[in-house]
Amino acid sequence: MERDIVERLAMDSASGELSEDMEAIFKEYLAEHPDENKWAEDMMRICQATQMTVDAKTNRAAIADVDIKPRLMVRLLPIARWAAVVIFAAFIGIAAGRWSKSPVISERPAHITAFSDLTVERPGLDLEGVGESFWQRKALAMLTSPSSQIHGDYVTGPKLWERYRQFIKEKNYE
Amino acid sequence: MKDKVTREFQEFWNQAAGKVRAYMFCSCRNWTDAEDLAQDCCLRALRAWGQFDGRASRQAWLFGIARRTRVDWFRRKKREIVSVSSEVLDNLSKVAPGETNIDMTEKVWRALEKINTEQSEVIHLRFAAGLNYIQIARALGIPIGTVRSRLYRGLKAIKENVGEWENGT
Repeated sequence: MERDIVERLAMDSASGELSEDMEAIFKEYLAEHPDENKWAEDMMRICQATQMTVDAKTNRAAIADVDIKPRLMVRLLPIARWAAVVIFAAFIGIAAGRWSKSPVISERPAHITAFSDLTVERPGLDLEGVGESFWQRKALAMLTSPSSQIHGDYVTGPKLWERYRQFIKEKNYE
Repeated sequence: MKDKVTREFQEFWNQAAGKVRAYMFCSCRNWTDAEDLAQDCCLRALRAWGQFDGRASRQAWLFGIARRTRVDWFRRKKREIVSVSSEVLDNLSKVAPGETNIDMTEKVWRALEKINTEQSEVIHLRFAAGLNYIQIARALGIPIGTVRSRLYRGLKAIKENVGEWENGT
C-alpha cells in the first residue's frame, strides 16, 4: 500500500473511526509489512501526542465549573454600575433642587423715604451732622428703589451689550 | 414548559461546556477569551435551542454554533483565526536559551499554532471537542472526506514542524 493510504488508515484507527472488521484486517496487514507498520506507528504517535498536548493544555477547561449565572452578572456589572451612577446623580440633583432656595433680598421698609428716616428705623444710629450729600442720596435711592429691580440686577445682572452701551454713554458724557 | 427547556439545556451544557472551552482555548490560546467565547456560545445555543432540527447530533449542532461564535469574535477583534505573523511564529518555535529540554507537549502545541486555519479547526474539533468525523462534517458543513483530508494534512504538518518522529524519538 502507498504511504498516504497507510497513514490515513492509521489516523482513522487512532480516531476510532474504523469498524472492528477493518481494524482487524489493517492490523493483520501491518503485522505482515514491518516497513508500513512503522509509517502507521508514526502516524498513531502523532495522533497520540496531539491528543495528549490538547488534553494537557486544556485541562482547566475539563475541570472548570459550569456556572452561567455569575458570568451573566459579570457581563451586566458595567451596565449596573452606570445605572447606579446615573440614579445617584439624579437623586443628588433632585435633592439639591428641592431643598435649596433662590436668593431673596429683604424688602426695604416702605416708610423710609428720606435718609434721616433711618434714625426712626434704627434708633441707635447717630446721623447728627450728616448732610444730604451725594452718597447719602445714592444710598437713599438704592434703599427706596423697588426690591424686585435690585433682586433682578443682582441675580442676573445687565446684559453685556447694555453695560457696554452704558459705558459709552457715560464716557461721552464725561 | 420554559423551565423544562432550561433544565434540558442546562444538562446538555453541563456535559459539553468543558469541550467547548477546550475548543475555544485551542483557537485563541487565552483562558479569559476562551471563557468569554464559551459564554457567548452558551447564550447563542440557549437562544437557538428550540430551533434544533435534529438533522445532526446535538454535539455537532453545538460546535457549529461554537465555530460561528469563534469566527464572529475573531472578526470583531479584526484578527484572522491564525493571524500570527511568520516572524512571531519563528520566535515561538525557537527554543529559548534556558529551555533546551523543551518537552514534546510544548513542541506539538507550538506546531499546532503554525498549521493553517482549516486544518487546525478540524484538529481542534477532533482532539479538543472530541467529535467524530461525522459530527465534525456536520459542524463545519463539509463532506466527511474533506474532514479526513484536513485532519491528515494537519497531522502531517504537525509532524513536519516537530520533526522528531522520523528518528523514532
